[in-house]
Amino acid sequence: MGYLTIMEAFLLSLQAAIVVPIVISTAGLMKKGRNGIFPAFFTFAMMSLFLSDLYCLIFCIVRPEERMPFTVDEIAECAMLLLVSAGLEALSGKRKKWMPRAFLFTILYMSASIALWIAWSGEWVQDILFGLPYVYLAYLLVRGLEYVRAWDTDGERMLAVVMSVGILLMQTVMLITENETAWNVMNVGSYVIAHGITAWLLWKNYRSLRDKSYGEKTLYLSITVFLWTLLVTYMSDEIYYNIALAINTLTIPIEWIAVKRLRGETDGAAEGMENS
Amino acid sequence: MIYAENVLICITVPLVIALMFLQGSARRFVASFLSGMAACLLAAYVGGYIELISGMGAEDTAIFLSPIIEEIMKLLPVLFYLMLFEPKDVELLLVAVGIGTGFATFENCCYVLSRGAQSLAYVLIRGSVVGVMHLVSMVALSVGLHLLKQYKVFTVSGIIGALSLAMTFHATYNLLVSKSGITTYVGYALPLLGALILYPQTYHYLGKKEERRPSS
Repeated sequence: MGYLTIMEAFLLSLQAAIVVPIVISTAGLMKKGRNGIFPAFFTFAMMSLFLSDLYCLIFCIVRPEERMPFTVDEIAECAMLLLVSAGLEALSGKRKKWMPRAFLFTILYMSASIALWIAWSGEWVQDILFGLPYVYLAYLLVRGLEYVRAWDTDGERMLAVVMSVGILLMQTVMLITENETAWNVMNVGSYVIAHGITAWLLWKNYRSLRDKSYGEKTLYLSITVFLWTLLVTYMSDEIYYNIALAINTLTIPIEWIAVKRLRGETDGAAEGMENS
Repeated sequence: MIYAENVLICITVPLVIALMFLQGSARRFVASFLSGMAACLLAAYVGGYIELISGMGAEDTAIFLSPIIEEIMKLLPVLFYLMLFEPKDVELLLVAVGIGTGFATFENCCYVLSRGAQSLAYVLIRGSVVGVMHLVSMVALSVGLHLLKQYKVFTVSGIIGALSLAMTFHATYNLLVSKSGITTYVGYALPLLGALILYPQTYHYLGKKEERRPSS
Protein backbone atom coordinates (compact mmCIF):
# COMPACT_ATOMS: atom_id res chain seq x y z
CA MET A 1 0.00 0.00 0.00
CA GLY A 2 1.59 3.28 -1.12
CA TYR A 3 1.73 6.44 0.99
CA LEU A 4 -0.94 8.11 -1.21
CA THR A 5 -3.37 5.26 -0.54
CA ILE A 6 -2.63 5.43 3.19
CA MET A 7 -3.21 9.18 3.11
CA GLU A 8 -6.46 8.70 1.18
CA ALA A 9 -7.63 6.06 3.68
CA PHE A 10 -6.82 8.43 6.55
CA LEU A 11 -8.71 11.31 4.93
CA LEU A 12 -11.72 9.09 4.20
CA SER A 13 -11.78 7.91 7.83
CA LEU A 14 -11.52 11.53 8.96
CA GLN A 15 -14.42 12.53 6.71
CA ALA A 16 -16.52 9.60 7.95
CA ALA A 17 -15.66 10.51 11.57
CA ILE A 18 -16.73 14.11 10.97
CA VAL A 19 -19.98 13.06 9.27
CA VAL A 20 -21.19 10.80 12.14
CA PRO A 21 -21.73 13.57 14.75
CA ILE A 22 -23.21 15.77 12.02
CA VAL A 23 -25.78 13.05 11.21
CA ILE A 24 -26.65 12.76 14.92
CA SER A 25 -26.94 16.52 15.30
CA THR A 26 -29.07 17.10 12.18
CA ALA A 27 -31.28 14.12 13.11
CA GLY A 28 -31.96 16.06 16.32
CA LEU A 29 -32.83 19.17 14.29
CA MET A 30 -35.07 17.01 12.09
CA LYS A 31 -36.99 15.73 15.13
CA LYS A 32 -37.42 19.21 16.61
CA GLY A 33 -38.73 20.42 13.26
CA ARG A 34 -37.92 24.07 13.95
CA ASN A 35 -35.55 24.37 11.01
CA GLY A 36 -38.11 23.42 8.43
CA ILE A 37 -37.87 20.42 6.16
CA PHE A 38 -34.26 20.83 4.99
CA PRO A 39 -32.55 19.05 7.94
CA ALA A 40 -34.54 15.88 7.12
CA PHE A 41 -33.09 15.77 3.59
CA PHE A 42 -29.68 16.80 4.86
CA THR A 43 -29.58 14.00 7.46
CA PHE A 44 -30.31 11.35 4.81
CA ALA A 45 -27.77 13.00 2.47
CA MET A 46 -25.06 12.85 5.13
CA MET A 47 -25.91 9.20 5.84
CA SER A 48 -25.36 8.47 2.15
CA LEU A 49 -22.04 10.34 2.25
CA PHE A 50 -20.97 8.38 5.32
CA LEU A 51 -21.75 5.03 3.66
CA SER A 52 -20.00 6.11 0.46
CA ASP A 53 -16.90 7.06 2.49
CA LEU A 54 -17.02 3.80 4.42
CA TYR A 55 -17.22 1.79 1.21
CA CYS A 56 -14.30 3.69 -0.38
CA LEU A 57 -12.27 3.25 2.79
CA ILE A 58 -12.84 -0.52 2.83
CA PHE A 59 -12.00 -0.66 -0.88
CA CYS A 60 -8.71 1.20 -0.17
CA ILE A 61 -7.85 -1.39 2.50
CA VAL A 62 -9.06 -4.58 0.78
CA ARG A 63 -8.00 -3.76 -2.77
CA PRO A 64 -5.25 -1.11 -2.67
CA GLU A 65 -3.85 0.14 -5.97
CA GLU A 66 -6.89 -1.19 -7.89
CA ARG A 67 -9.11 1.22 -9.82
CA MET A 68 -12.60 1.09 -8.40
CA PRO A 69 -15.13 -0.13 -10.97
CA PHE A 70 -18.70 1.14 -11.15
CA THR A 71 -20.15 0.36 -7.76
CA VAL A 72 -22.47 1.47 -4.98
CA ASP A 73 -20.38 4.40 -3.74
CA GLU A 74 -21.36 6.30 -6.90
CA ILE A 75 -25.03 5.53 -6.25
CA ALA A 76 -24.64 6.72 -2.64
CA GLU A 77 -22.98 9.93 -3.85
CA CYS A 78 -25.75 10.53 -6.38
CA ALA A 79 -28.36 9.86 -3.69
CA MET A 80 -26.61 12.46 -1.51
CA LEU A 81 -26.72 15.07 -4.29
CA LEU A 82 -30.36 14.27 -5.12
CA LEU A 83 -31.36 14.53 -1.46
CA VAL A 84 -29.65 17.91 -1.09
CA SER A 85 -31.33 19.04 -4.34
CA ALA A 86 -34.74 17.90 -3.10
CA GLY A 87 -34.08 19.76 0.17
CA LEU A 88 -33.22 22.95 -1.73
CA GLU A 89 -36.34 22.57 -3.90
CA ALA A 90 -38.45 22.20 -0.76
CA LEU A 91 -36.70 25.19 0.82
CA SER A 92 -37.35 27.46 -2.14
CA GLY A 93 -41.05 26.47 -1.97
CA LYS A 94 -43.31 28.98 -3.67
CA ARG A 95 -40.39 31.14 -4.76
CA LYS A 96 -39.28 28.59 -7.36
CA LYS A 97 -38.92 30.28 -10.70
CA TRP A 98 -37.41 29.32 -14.00
CA MET A 99 -34.09 31.07 -14.66
CA PRO A 100 -33.06 30.39 -18.29
CA ARG A 101 -29.69 32.12 -17.93
CA ALA A 102 -28.71 29.98 -14.94
CA PHE A 103 -30.03 26.84 -16.65
CA LEU A 104 -28.10 27.52 -19.87
CA PHE A 105 -24.85 28.19 -18.02
CA THR A 106 -25.24 25.06 -15.88
CA ILE A 107 -26.08 22.81 -18.82
CA LEU A 108 -23.13 24.07 -20.88
CA TYR A 109 -20.66 24.01 -17.99
CA MET A 110 -21.62 20.61 -16.62
CA SER A 111 -21.90 19.05 -20.10
CA ALA A 112 -18.35 20.17 -20.81
CA SER A 113 -17.24 18.75 -17.43
CA ILE A 114 -18.96 15.43 -18.16
CA ALA A 115 -17.32 15.34 -21.60
CA LEU A 116 -13.94 15.75 -19.89
CA TRP A 117 -14.77 12.96 -17.41
CA ILE A 118 -15.65 10.69 -20.34
CA ALA A 119 -12.44 11.62 -22.16
CA TRP A 120 -10.48 10.71 -19.03
CA SER A 121 -12.27 7.52 -18.00
CA GLY A 122 -13.88 6.28 -21.24
CA GLU A 123 -17.06 5.37 -19.30
CA TRP A 124 -19.82 6.90 -21.42
CA VAL A 125 -23.06 5.65 -19.90
CA GLN A 126 -21.84 5.87 -16.34
CA ASP A 127 -20.53 9.43 -16.61
CA ILE A 128 -23.62 10.74 -18.40
CA LEU A 129 -26.09 8.98 -16.10
CA PHE A 130 -24.30 9.89 -12.89
CA GLY A 131 -23.53 13.40 -14.14
CA LEU A 132 -27.24 14.29 -14.20
CA PRO A 133 -27.61 14.82 -10.41
CA TYR A 134 -24.60 17.17 -10.59
CA VAL A 135 -26.30 19.17 -13.35
CA TYR A 136 -29.53 19.37 -11.31
CA LEU A 137 -27.82 20.48 -8.08
CA ALA A 138 -25.55 22.92 -9.92
CA TYR A 139 -28.61 24.56 -11.55
CA LEU A 140 -30.39 24.88 -8.19
CA LEU A 141 -27.26 26.45 -6.68
CA VAL A 142 -26.67 28.91 -9.52
CA ARG A 143 -30.35 29.91 -9.34
CA GLY A 144 -30.28 30.05 -5.53
CA LEU A 145 -27.12 32.17 -5.42
CA GLU A 146 -28.88 34.70 -7.63
CA TYR A 147 -31.95 34.65 -5.44
CA VAL A 148 -30.07 35.15 -2.16
CA ARG A 149 -27.84 37.79 -3.79
CA ALA A 150 -24.66 35.97 -2.93
CA TRP A 151 -22.64 37.96 -5.48
CA ASP A 152 -21.78 41.43 -4.19
CA THR A 153 -21.34 42.91 -7.65
CA ASP A 154 -21.91 41.94 -11.30
CA GLY A 155 -18.13 41.93 -11.72
CA GLU A 156 -17.80 39.30 -9.02
CA ARG A 157 -20.35 37.08 -10.75
CA MET A 158 -18.56 37.52 -14.08
CA LEU A 159 -15.20 36.69 -12.49
CA ALA A 160 -16.64 33.44 -11.08
CA VAL A 161 -17.90 32.48 -14.56
CA VAL A 162 -14.61 33.36 -16.29
CA MET A 163 -12.47 31.49 -13.76
CA SER A 164 -14.57 28.33 -13.81
CA VAL A 165 -14.73 28.30 -17.61
CA GLY A 166 -10.96 28.96 -17.68
CA ILE A 167 -10.33 25.68 -15.83
CA LEU A 168 -12.38 23.77 -18.38
CA LEU A 169 -10.39 25.31 -21.23
CA MET A 170 -7.09 24.48 -19.53
CA GLN A 171 -8.17 20.88 -18.92
CA THR A 172 -9.21 20.60 -22.59
CA VAL A 173 -5.81 21.90 -23.72
CA MET A 174 -4.16 19.30 -21.45
CA LEU A 175 -6.10 16.57 -23.24
CA ILE A 176 -5.09 17.60 -26.73
CA THR A 177 -1.61 19.03 -26.35
CA GLU A 178 1.51 16.93 -26.86
CA ASN A 179 3.83 19.66 -25.63
CA GLU A 180 5.06 18.74 -22.14
CA THR A 181 5.76 22.32 -21.04
CA ALA A 182 2.31 23.47 -22.12
CA TRP A 183 0.79 20.49 -20.32
CA ASN A 184 2.63 21.31 -17.09
CA VAL A 185 1.70 25.02 -17.27
CA MET A 186 -1.97 24.17 -17.84
CA ASN A 187 -1.93 21.57 -15.07
CA VAL A 188 -0.48 23.93 -12.46
CA GLY A 189 -2.63 26.81 -13.76
CA SER A 190 -5.87 24.84 -13.42
CA TYR A 191 -5.03 23.75 -9.85
CA VAL A 192 -4.18 27.35 -8.90
CA ILE A 193 -7.47 28.66 -10.31
CA ALA A 194 -9.52 25.78 -8.84
CA HIS A 195 -8.12 26.28 -5.36
CA GLY A 196 -8.31 30.06 -5.84
CA ILE A 197 -12.08 29.73 -6.40
CA THR A 198 -12.28 27.43 -3.36
CA ALA A 199 -10.47 30.01 -1.20
CA TRP A 200 -12.74 32.76 -2.49
CA LEU A 201 -15.89 30.73 -1.76
CA LEU A 202 -14.56 29.84 1.70
CA TRP A 203 -13.96 33.55 2.35
CA LYS A 204 -17.52 34.34 1.27
CA ASN A 205 -18.78 31.60 3.59
CA TYR A 206 -16.73 33.00 6.46
CA ARG A 207 -18.11 36.48 5.85
CA SER A 208 -21.64 35.18 5.63
CA LEU A 209 -21.25 33.25 8.90
CA ARG A 210 -19.56 36.16 10.69
CA ASP A 211 -22.15 38.70 9.53
CA LYS A 212 -24.91 36.33 10.61
CA SER A 213 -26.42 36.72 7.13
CA TYR A 214 -29.80 35.09 6.87
CA GLY A 215 -29.57 31.30 6.85
CA GLU A 216 -30.53 30.60 3.27
CA LYS A 217 -27.64 32.66 1.89
CA THR A 218 -25.13 30.84 4.12
CA LEU A 219 -26.70 27.51 3.16
CA TYR A 220 -26.44 28.14 -0.59
CA LEU A 221 -22.85 29.35 -0.25
CA SER A 222 -21.82 26.36 1.87
CA ILE A 223 -23.39 23.82 -0.51
CA THR A 224 -21.74 25.63 -3.43
CA VAL A 225 -18.28 25.33 -1.88
CA PHE A 226 -18.98 21.67 -1.04
CA LEU A 227 -20.03 20.85 -4.62
CA TRP A 228 -17.15 22.86 -6.06
CA THR A 229 -14.55 21.06 -3.95
CA LEU A 230 -16.15 17.73 -4.89
CA LEU A 231 -15.71 18.63 -8.58
CA VAL A 232 -12.12 19.65 -7.86
CA THR A 233 -11.42 16.18 -6.42
CA TYR A 234 -12.58 14.69 -9.76
CA MET A 235 -10.10 16.80 -11.75
CA SER A 236 -7.24 16.02 -9.35
CA ASP A 237 -4.94 13.04 -9.12
CA GLU A 238 -2.22 11.70 -6.82
CA ILE A 239 -1.28 14.16 -4.04
CA TYR A 240 -3.58 16.86 -5.49
CA TYR A 241 -6.51 14.47 -5.04
CA ASN A 242 -5.75 14.11 -1.34
CA ILE A 243 -5.41 17.88 -0.93
CA ALA A 244 -8.79 18.36 -2.64
CA LEU A 245 -10.34 15.64 -0.47
CA ALA A 246 -9.04 17.35 2.69
CA ILE A 247 -10.54 20.68 1.61
CA ASN A 248 -13.82 18.95 0.71
CA THR A 249 -13.90 17.49 4.24
CA LEU A 250 -13.44 20.97 5.66
CA THR A 251 -16.58 22.22 3.89
CA ILE A 252 -18.87 19.64 5.56
CA PRO A 253 -18.89 21.30 9.02
CA ILE A 254 -19.56 24.63 7.26
CA GLU A 255 -22.67 23.06 5.69
CA TRP A 256 -23.72 21.80 9.10
CA ILE A 257 -23.40 25.28 10.65
CA ALA A 258 -25.43 26.68 7.77
CA VAL A 259 -28.18 24.09 8.33
CA LYS A 260 -28.26 25.03 12.01
CA ARG A 261 -28.58 28.69 10.98
CA LEU A 262 -31.88 27.90 9.32
CA ARG A 263 -33.34 27.81 12.84
CA GLY A 264 -36.42 29.94 13.40
CA GLU A 265 -36.35 31.34 9.92
CA THR A 266 -39.58 31.87 8.04
CA ASP A 267 -40.38 32.44 4.39
CA GLY A 268 -41.23 36.01 5.32
CA ALA A 269 -37.65 36.77 6.36
CA ALA A 270 -36.31 35.50 3.06
CA GLU A 271 -38.94 37.33 1.08
CA GLY A 272 -38.06 40.46 3.02
CA MET A 273 -34.46 40.08 1.80
CA GLU A 274 -35.68 39.63 -1.74
CA ASN A 275 -37.77 42.77 -1.61
CA SER A 276 -35.12 44.93 0.09
CA MET B 1 -25.86 -27.12 -12.47
CA ILE B 2 -29.19 -26.78 -10.69
CA TYR B 3 -32.55 -25.79 -12.11
CA ALA B 4 -33.45 -22.80 -9.94
CA GLU B 5 -36.99 -22.59 -11.35
CA ASN B 6 -37.68 -26.20 -10.32
CA VAL B 7 -36.34 -25.52 -6.82
CA LEU B 8 -38.59 -22.47 -6.62
CA ILE B 9 -41.67 -24.45 -7.68
CA CYS B 10 -40.86 -27.17 -5.17
CA ILE B 11 -40.67 -24.68 -2.28
CA THR B 12 -43.49 -22.37 -3.30
CA VAL B 13 -46.30 -24.87 -4.01
CA PRO B 14 -46.94 -25.77 -0.33
CA LEU B 15 -46.64 -22.11 0.64
CA VAL B 16 -49.11 -21.03 -2.03
CA ILE B 17 -51.58 -23.65 -0.82
CA ALA B 18 -50.92 -22.56 2.78
CA LEU B 19 -52.08 -19.05 1.80
CA MET B 20 -55.64 -20.38 1.45
CA PHE B 21 -55.70 -21.43 5.09
CA LEU B 22 -54.11 -18.31 6.53
CA GLN B 23 -55.54 -14.94 7.50
CA GLY B 24 -54.25 -11.48 8.40
CA SER B 25 -50.58 -10.90 9.12
CA ALA B 26 -49.65 -14.61 8.76
CA ARG B 27 -51.01 -14.57 5.21
CA ARG B 28 -49.25 -11.27 4.51
CA PHE B 29 -45.96 -12.70 5.75
CA VAL B 30 -46.18 -15.86 3.63
CA ALA B 31 -47.15 -13.81 0.55
CA SER B 32 -44.19 -11.49 1.05
CA PHE B 33 -41.92 -14.50 1.66
CA LEU B 34 -43.01 -15.85 -1.75
CA SER B 35 -42.38 -12.42 -3.33
CA GLY B 36 -38.88 -12.44 -1.83
CA MET B 37 -38.12 -15.82 -3.43
CA ALA B 38 -39.46 -14.63 -6.80
CA ALA B 39 -37.36 -11.46 -6.48
CA CYS B 40 -34.28 -13.62 -5.88
CA LEU B 41 -34.86 -15.61 -9.07
CA LEU B 42 -35.45 -12.43 -11.09
CA ALA B 43 -32.28 -10.87 -9.60
CA ALA B 44 -30.33 -13.94 -10.75
CA TYR B 45 -31.68 -13.54 -14.31
CA VAL B 46 -30.88 -9.80 -14.40
CA GLY B 47 -27.45 -10.38 -12.83
CA GLY B 48 -26.61 -13.04 -15.41
CA TYR B 49 -27.64 -10.73 -18.23
CA ILE B 50 -25.64 -7.77 -16.88
CA GLU B 51 -22.60 -9.99 -16.37
CA LEU B 52 -22.84 -10.94 -20.03
CA ILE B 53 -23.20 -7.40 -21.41
CA SER B 54 -20.84 -5.61 -19.00
CA GLY B 55 -17.92 -7.92 -19.65
CA MET B 56 -17.07 -8.01 -15.94
CA GLY B 57 -16.04 -11.39 -14.59
CA ALA B 58 -18.41 -13.51 -12.49
CA GLU B 59 -16.54 -12.62 -9.28
CA ASP B 60 -16.51 -8.86 -9.92
CA THR B 61 -20.19 -8.94 -10.87
CA ALA B 62 -21.00 -10.75 -7.63
CA ILE B 63 -18.98 -8.29 -5.54
CA PHE B 64 -19.79 -4.98 -7.20
CA LEU B 65 -23.01 -5.31 -9.21
CA SER B 66 -25.14 -7.93 -7.48
CA PRO B 67 -25.81 -5.73 -4.39
CA ILE B 68 -27.26 -3.09 -6.70
CA ILE B 69 -29.43 -5.55 -8.64
CA GLU B 70 -30.59 -7.54 -5.60
CA GLU B 71 -31.53 -4.51 -3.53
CA ILE B 72 -33.50 -3.01 -6.43
CA MET B 73 -35.35 -6.33 -6.90
CA LYS B 74 -36.14 -6.45 -3.17
CA LEU B 75 -37.25 -2.80 -3.12
CA LEU B 76 -39.79 -3.21 -5.93
CA PRO B 77 -42.33 -5.41 -4.06
CA VAL B 78 -41.99 -3.23 -0.92
CA LEU B 79 -42.58 -0.10 -2.96
CA PHE B 80 -45.51 -1.72 -4.74
CA TYR B 81 -47.07 -2.68 -1.40
CA LEU B 82 -46.39 0.74 0.10
CA MET B 83 -47.95 2.66 -2.76
CA LEU B 84 -50.92 0.38 -3.33
CA PHE B 85 -52.02 -0.43 0.22
CA GLU B 86 -50.61 2.47 2.31
CA PRO B 87 -49.82 0.08 5.19
CA LYS B 88 -49.21 0.86 8.86
CA ASP B 89 -45.57 0.92 10.02
CA VAL B 90 -45.75 -2.55 11.60
CA GLU B 91 -47.27 -4.04 8.45
CA LEU B 92 -44.55 -2.49 6.28
CA LEU B 93 -41.89 -3.99 8.52
CA LEU B 94 -43.60 -7.39 8.41
CA VAL B 95 -43.66 -7.35 4.60
CA ALA B 96 -40.02 -6.19 4.41
CA VAL B 97 -38.94 -8.97 6.78
CA GLY B 98 -40.93 -11.51 4.73
CA ILE B 99 -39.28 -10.40 1.48
CA GLY B 100 -35.81 -10.39 3.05
CA THR B 101 -36.15 -13.87 4.54
CA GLY B 102 -37.75 -15.27 1.37
CA PHE B 103 -34.90 -13.89 -0.71
CA ALA B 104 -32.26 -15.22 1.68
CA THR B 105 -33.92 -18.66 1.95
CA PHE B 106 -34.10 -19.19 -1.79
CA GLU B 107 -30.56 -17.90 -2.34
CA ASN B 108 -29.25 -20.23 0.38
CA CYS B 109 -31.17 -23.20 -1.05
CA CYS B 110 -29.68 -22.70 -4.52
CA TYR B 111 -26.20 -22.06 -3.12
CA VAL B 112 -26.21 -25.15 -0.91
CA LEU B 113 -27.66 -27.34 -3.68
CA SER B 114 -24.97 -26.24 -6.13
CA ARG B 115 -22.00 -26.27 -3.71
CA GLY B 116 -22.95 -29.11 -1.37
CA ALA B 117 -23.88 -29.08 2.31
CA GLN B 118 -21.31 -31.44 3.78
CA SER B 119 -19.59 -28.92 6.04
CA LEU B 120 -21.75 -27.90 9.00
CA ALA B 121 -19.53 -24.88 9.75
CA TYR B 122 -19.92 -23.59 6.20
CA VAL B 123 -23.70 -24.08 6.23
CA LEU B 124 -23.96 -22.31 9.60
CA ILE B 125 -21.96 -19.33 8.35
CA ARG B 126 -23.97 -19.20 5.15
CA GLY B 127 -27.26 -19.31 7.04
CA SER B 128 -26.45 -16.96 9.86
CA VAL B 129 -24.50 -14.38 7.87
CA VAL B 130 -25.89 -14.12 4.34
CA GLY B 131 -29.42 -14.82 5.55
CA VAL B 132 -29.20 -12.14 8.23
CA MET B 133 -27.59 -9.69 5.80
CA HIS B 134 -30.63 -9.77 3.46
CA LEU B 135 -32.93 -9.43 6.43
CA VAL B 136 -31.03 -6.47 7.92
CA SER B 137 -30.82 -4.61 4.62
CA MET B 138 -34.59 -4.99 4.19
CA VAL B 139 -35.34 -3.83 7.74
CA ALA B 140 -33.04 -0.82 7.19
CA LEU B 141 -34.80 -0.08 3.92
CA SER B 142 -38.26 -0.27 5.47
CA VAL B 143 -37.18 1.93 8.40
CA GLY B 144 -35.73 4.41 5.88
CA LEU B 145 -38.96 4.44 3.83
CA HIS B 146 -40.99 4.82 6.99
CA LEU B 147 -38.89 7.80 8.13
CA LEU B 148 -39.27 9.40 4.71
CA LYS B 149 -43.05 9.10 5.05
CA GLN B 150 -43.01 10.40 8.59
CA TYR B 151 -41.01 13.50 7.73
CA LYS B 152 -43.01 14.02 4.52
CA VAL B 153 -39.97 13.67 2.30
CA PHE B 154 -41.22 10.61 0.44
CA THR B 155 -39.87 11.67 -2.95
CA VAL B 156 -37.93 9.88 -5.71
CA SER B 157 -34.66 11.25 -4.31
CA GLY B 158 -35.66 10.09 -0.83
CA ILE B 159 -36.39 6.57 -2.10
CA ILE B 160 -33.03 6.48 -3.91
CA GLY B 161 -31.42 7.62 -0.65
CA ALA B 162 -33.03 4.79 1.33
CA LEU B 163 -32.18 2.30 -1.41
CA SER B 164 -28.55 3.43 -1.49
CA LEU B 165 -28.43 2.78 2.27
CA ALA B 166 -29.43 -0.86 1.77
CA MET B 167 -27.19 -1.25 -1.29
CA THR B 168 -24.10 0.13 0.44
CA PHE B 169 -24.63 -2.11 3.46
CA HIS B 170 -24.94 -5.17 1.20
CA ALA B 171 -21.99 -4.14 -0.99
CA THR B 172 -19.79 -3.45 2.03
CA TYR B 173 -20.42 -7.01 3.23
CA ASN B 174 -19.64 -8.44 -0.24
CA LEU B 175 -16.43 -6.41 -0.48
CA LEU B 176 -15.25 -7.42 3.00
CA VAL B 177 -15.73 -11.14 2.41
CA SER B 178 -14.23 -11.02 -1.10
CA LYS B 179 -10.68 -11.35 0.26
CA SER B 180 -9.64 -13.93 2.83
CA GLY B 181 -8.13 -12.79 6.13
CA ILE B 182 -9.25 -10.52 8.91
CA THR B 183 -11.62 -8.56 6.64
CA THR B 184 -13.67 -11.72 6.04
CA TYR B 185 -14.37 -12.03 9.78
CA VAL B 186 -15.29 -8.34 9.95
CA GLY B 187 -17.64 -9.01 7.02
CA TYR B 188 -19.22 -11.96 8.84
CA ALA B 189 -19.75 -9.83 11.94
CA LEU B 190 -21.33 -6.94 10.00
CA PRO B 191 -24.85 -8.39 9.42
CA LEU B 192 -25.08 -9.69 12.98
CA LEU B 193 -23.95 -6.33 14.33
CA GLY B 194 -26.52 -4.62 12.06
CA ALA B 195 -29.25 -6.90 13.39
CA LEU B 196 -28.22 -6.20 17.00
CA ILE B 197 -28.31 -2.44 16.41
CA LEU B 198 -31.56 -2.43 14.43
CA TYR B 199 -33.56 -4.82 16.61
CA PRO B 200 -33.94 -2.67 19.77
CA GLN B 201 -34.20 0.59 17.79
CA THR B 202 -36.96 -0.67 15.50
CA TYR B 203 -39.06 -2.37 18.14
CA HIS B 204 -38.68 0.40 20.70
CA TYR B 205 -39.81 2.93 18.10
CA LEU B 206 -42.69 0.85 16.73
CA GLY B 207 -43.78 -0.05 20.26
CA LYS B 208 -43.97 3.64 21.14
CA LYS B 209 -46.04 4.35 18.04
CA GLU B 210 -48.45 1.53 18.85
CA GLU B 211 -48.89 2.93 22.39
CA ARG B 212 -49.71 6.37 21.00
CA ARG B 213 -52.26 5.00 18.52
CA PRO B 214 -55.83 5.27 19.91
CA SER B 215 -57.44 1.87 20.43
CA SER B 216 -60.31 1.17 18.06
